[in-house]
Amino acid sequence: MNNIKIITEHWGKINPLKIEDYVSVGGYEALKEFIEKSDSEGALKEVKLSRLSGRGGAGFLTGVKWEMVSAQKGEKYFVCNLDESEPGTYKDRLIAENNPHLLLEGLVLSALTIGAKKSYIYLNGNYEKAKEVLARAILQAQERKFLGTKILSSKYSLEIEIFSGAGAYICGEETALLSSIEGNRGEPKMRPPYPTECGLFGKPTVVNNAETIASIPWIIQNGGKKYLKCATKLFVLGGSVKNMGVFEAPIATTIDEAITKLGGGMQDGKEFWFAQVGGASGGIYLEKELGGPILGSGAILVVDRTADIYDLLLSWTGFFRRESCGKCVPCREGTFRLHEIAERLVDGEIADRDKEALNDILWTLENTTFCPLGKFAATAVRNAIDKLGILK
Amino acid sequence: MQNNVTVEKILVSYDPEVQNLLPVLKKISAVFGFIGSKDAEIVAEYFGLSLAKICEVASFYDLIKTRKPANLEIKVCSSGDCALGSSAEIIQEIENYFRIKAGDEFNPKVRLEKNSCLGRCAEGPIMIVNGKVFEKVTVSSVHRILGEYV
Amino acid sequence: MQIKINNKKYAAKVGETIFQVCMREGIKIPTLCGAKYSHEGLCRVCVVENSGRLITSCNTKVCKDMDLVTESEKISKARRINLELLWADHAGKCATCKKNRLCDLQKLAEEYRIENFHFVPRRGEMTSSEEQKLLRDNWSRVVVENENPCISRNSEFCVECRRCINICPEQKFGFNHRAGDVVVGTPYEKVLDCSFCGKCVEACPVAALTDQNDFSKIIKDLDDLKKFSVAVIDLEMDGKISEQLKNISHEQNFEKIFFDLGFEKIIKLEEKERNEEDEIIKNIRTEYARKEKIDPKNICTFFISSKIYKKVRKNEYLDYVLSEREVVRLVRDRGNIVAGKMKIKA
Repeated sequence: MNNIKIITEHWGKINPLKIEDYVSVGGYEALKEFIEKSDSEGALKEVKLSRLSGRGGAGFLTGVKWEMVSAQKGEKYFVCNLDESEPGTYKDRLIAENNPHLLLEGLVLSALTIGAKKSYIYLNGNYEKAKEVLARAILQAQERKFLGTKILSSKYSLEIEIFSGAGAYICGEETALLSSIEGNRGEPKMRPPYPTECGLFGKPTVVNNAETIASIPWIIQNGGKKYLKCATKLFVLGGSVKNMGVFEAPIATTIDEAITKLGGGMQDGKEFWFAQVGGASGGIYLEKELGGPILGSGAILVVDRTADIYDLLLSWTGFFRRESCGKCVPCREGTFRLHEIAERLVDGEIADRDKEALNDILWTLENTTFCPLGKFAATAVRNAIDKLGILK
Repeated sequence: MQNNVTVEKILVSYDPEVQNLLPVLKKISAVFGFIGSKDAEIVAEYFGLSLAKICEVASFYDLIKTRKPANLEIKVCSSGDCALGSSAEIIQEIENYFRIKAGDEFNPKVRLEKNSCLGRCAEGPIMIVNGKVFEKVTVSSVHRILGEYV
Repeated sequence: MQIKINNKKYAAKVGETIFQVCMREGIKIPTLCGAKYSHEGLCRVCVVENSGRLITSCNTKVCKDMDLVTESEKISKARRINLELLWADHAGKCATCKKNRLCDLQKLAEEYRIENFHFVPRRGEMTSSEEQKLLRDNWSRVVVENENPCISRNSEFCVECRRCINICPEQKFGFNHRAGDVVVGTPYEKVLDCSFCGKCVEACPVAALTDQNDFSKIIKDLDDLKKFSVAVIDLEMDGKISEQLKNISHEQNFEKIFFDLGFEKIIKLEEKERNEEDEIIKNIRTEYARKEKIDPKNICTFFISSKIYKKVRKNEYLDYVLSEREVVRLVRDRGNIVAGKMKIKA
């Protein structure tokens, strides 16, 4: 494993509340370079070369997304998705809390590249500390002219606003997030049109995860080709591993490597059972399946043999039962039923008709819901039935 | 605080534009504990929106309340790490302690809710009592924490 | 452009939805939330297959070279499961329901044979105590309101299709709360206070929003041999009534229908009398008391109209206002009436 740290390098070493700390380690150099060259097409080219993909979970190529918006004229928006409500995931919060200026620099670079003059950071409503840190960082960056009108006395301007959410998992979905900023219920919107064509207030909009954005300064400074070779990703380890927390490692890290090398293996005396990769919406991986890449948000929950699978089952179904937006029938009613049946299963009262119903619900969640949340709601339960045999 | 802060005073610091609706509702709910129908009407008029729309938006989000909160609002995280870390037993303990059920709204004094992940998994299980966050809660520490509030 | 539906080619315009093309071409697609009211893709009943993938037809625009299938095993499965989920959330008290045989959900449930219930009904009359436990948190969300004069609301029946929200010109309804707790209703569950245009009642596919009336009193008056019932029928009612009536009966003779219901006299408004119903109704009691030598007390006046807000203005001249839906409901329940006055008179 190579040890290049792109995002976490200065965590814990610099004071997140002081912009001079960030500047002293070479911060905002990428921005200066960008302003000097004044070549947004060049920057876009580098990002495309880097093949940087969305770090929120969907993995869409960032360069492609940017290109769609930067090609359009007129008003547009750049939105940083820091809603991060996937259970077990808190990497974006740490980015904001440990090195807010890296995120801001990335955000300014991204927004200027696509030609946006206004940018929102959609922050998880529960992240009070991150909000304070970011708000302070924005003020400092404005003072030093890294932000605001005429950035570093150039033709570029950008206004960044923190938009604090109010507690709804679904707002991490980009169209729901935009609905939320627009003062609506955070319900997903029909796609197409995609946000890149008709996004915030009907204008072309790029929505990128905070981690994606935090990788941009490095790419601008070191070039896309170099990034392609050493791309990293943040992984969040939880459960029965020795070292819990957020780790930066090459993107191709396998689940097994993450658990043994980053997480330091299992806690003493605990025997590995399975890992859930990607939060509550993630799939279940048994010991023999750990060779694959880490998909989704990068969260890995390691579960040992002593864990109560029923507690987890109720946790998953309860989560989606609470967090479904209620818009479409299969998700609203399906997640409700799923939780109800899970409760009966835990009480040992599951009937044959429940098993049949369970299959039907999972099928309709996977195939007919309005947005991906429905499919996510089914993943873990489906895996638990197939791989862990909870119905037997 | 409630004596001198009014909804009107909160509204003054925001322009009546749609992107300010959620921040306004969040603020009112934080200051008064919830948004009552009278307050919602004032907000609706200020933004030029229907009352139905205000209620629709407000009731969607967890951090905005549309009914009066109980004296004691307890939330226990029940996602991922916390669920592995015995949050189910903690919930049961609280249920027994107050003789309530998580999610029920019948008891005007105490309300217990399961909460979604707050991103503090390394410090879990997490419990929130009247807005104050407690980390690494255990079945035995629940009594001590709640004792301070009863 | 051309698209393929069920292996046949059809012309379609840019910007049209699949649902619109199918409607135009006479290809039937079921829907609960959609049709003329909205195209939000909520009920997921209008799904069709596009190259093997299920998509909703109501909010998907046609693209070049689409290859659609509107009926397949997969599609029926999706429609059946989603209907079943909705049905389990619905009160399902069909036998006593105001909308019995006039309900969109009931029709679809019949069509897709939703008879094998996998789920414990979420709203409805429950008996055993364990089942009550399951239901408890849903019951708290049921909102029944009969306090306004025109529209009876009962969220027990609601299928959350948002038709009323989308159609209400005064934006009185909202989609409140989240997930399984969703309730379509007024803000803060207030008593509905609006101009009562009745558009929401017309739009509601089920019995969540219905006309407010005291039916037992109406039936009693119609059955009463001493009473002389006069119906003033508003313009354009013929079409509206027969539109609804075709679900219930083949009878198209309006006079017969009304006499069968127990009315003694029907007066159809004419075009030149548009909006003059108040004047006409005002004179009915005195006129018929004189003509038919009946005690004015025993004359019942009915106004048959879509203007349900007239219910607010019931007065000494006007006893009842019936909408086209209520007339059809009376016809549906006609058995009782025929056995009453008509039979004895004959």
